[in-house]
Amino acid sequence: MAAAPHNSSVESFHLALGAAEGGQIHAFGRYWVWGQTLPVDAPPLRLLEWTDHGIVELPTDSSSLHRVKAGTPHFIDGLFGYWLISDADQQWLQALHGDRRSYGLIAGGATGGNRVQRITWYCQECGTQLREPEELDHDGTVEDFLAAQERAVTAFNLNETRRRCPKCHALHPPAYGFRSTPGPEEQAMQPMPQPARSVGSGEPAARLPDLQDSKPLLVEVAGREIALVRSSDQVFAIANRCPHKAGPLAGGLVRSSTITCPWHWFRFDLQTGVSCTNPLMRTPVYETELRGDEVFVHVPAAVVA
Amino acid sequence: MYANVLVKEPLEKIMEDWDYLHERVLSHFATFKPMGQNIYGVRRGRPQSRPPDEIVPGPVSYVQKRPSYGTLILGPGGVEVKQSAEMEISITPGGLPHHTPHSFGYWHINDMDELSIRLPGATPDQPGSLLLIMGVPKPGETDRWAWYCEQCLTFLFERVYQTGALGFNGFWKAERDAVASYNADPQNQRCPECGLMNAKGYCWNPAKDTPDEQQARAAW
Repeated sequence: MAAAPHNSSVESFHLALGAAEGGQIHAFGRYWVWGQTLPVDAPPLRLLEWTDHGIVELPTDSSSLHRVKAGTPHFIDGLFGYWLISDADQQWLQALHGDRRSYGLIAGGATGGNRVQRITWYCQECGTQLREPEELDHDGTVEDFLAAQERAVTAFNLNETRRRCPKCHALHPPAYGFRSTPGPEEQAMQPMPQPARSVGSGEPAARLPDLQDSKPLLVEVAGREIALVRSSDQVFAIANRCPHKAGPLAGGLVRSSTITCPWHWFRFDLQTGVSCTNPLMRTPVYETELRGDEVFVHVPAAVVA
Repeated sequence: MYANVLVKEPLEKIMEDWDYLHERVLSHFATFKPMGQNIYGVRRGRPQSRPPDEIVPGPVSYVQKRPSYGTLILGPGGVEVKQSAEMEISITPGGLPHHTPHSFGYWHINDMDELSIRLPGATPDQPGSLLLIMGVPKPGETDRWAWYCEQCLTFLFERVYQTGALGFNGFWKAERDAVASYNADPQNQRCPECGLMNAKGYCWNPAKDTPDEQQARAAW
């Protein structure tokens, strides 16, 4: 339980929606709580819900508190890329205040244990259900839930047949897992980072001391924007463009030889460029070479041309 | 995305009370309303920003050190002031006595966790809201109204309502009965340990305050 520290002798829970621990799911008692604050001009998170009448979308232009009844398929665009059916009531909070927009998701209640969650997908063109809801196999902890839903997302993304609508034949775009790490989409609204250095082919792209461990450095080599990542004694070079929606990988989170796009949390193997989230997806990686403390990136001539 | 299949009718026509903050339904939640797995309460007001938490170890009069706004909880370390900032989700665990000065004149002990969220207005001149969400009690779960000596925290008086078995609808009558019982006998308010004469109790709803209860509401 990651309650914000308060000067207290009793266990209680505080989550400031705009604080650093926002963006992660916290568990306390019968509730799972998530919250985050974004600039008002960032793309809003959109709650869609299946009702007896069909899919409805909640307005995003005002503050509101909405309950999604347990057992109701719902999808929060920008927060998780699937339709979730939970045993717990979901309280979805939107608050507009000044130039900020805060969101809160409170899952749980008297009988909702956050134990049974099923996910599914519907065709984005005609609404046909693409597959029967799949119950996530997890042990009831947030961490295990996150791992289970990521496995289901990866399996969905790997199977094009599963993503193809049997009725209208539209292809569902790759799904994404719960936005559980700080790396908010509002970064899309920030000025794109500029390359620290712009060099031609055959010139050193960076000096080794300039690269901090697991902190990407954006450089431009022969007209290509490349994120250089130092991990232990290796240096990786990966294109600064997520193949999903062109997010800047140089702003991503580096963990265990992978980098996660800050926009929609697609994760990529730094060695191969293959997405761990959707292995059908790949982004270019480049060979690197160390000469003394200088780092060279070899961009193939065909790419340069 | 889903543009072809979204329901075009206004949401109000499809889902009743889809927004618990809407002016049209706000009054339903003023005295709490069970909906599904939770009970919801909404109060309009102007949230204030939070000073640092303060621990007031007993035995010290928490009345003298009460916050002008916020909730007191009674934990192992004594009485603590809990004030939540705007846009902060707070959860008071079930079983923890808590009292909000001038809002309700007793220590409320419910078996359900209780969430509170203070929302600012959309602009500085618009009122904010206080949301309270707590789980619907299961059979066997209760609400208690308790009083402790403000000076030495000695337990004075308590009434219990079997909310899970009897339902939330009887809560407010039981609350009024508990307050009336405590107030009826001055011996209930006299601390058996330190001898202090404590203030009377009062209910959540100020509309039915007796003159004594009005005085108590102003005091603590």
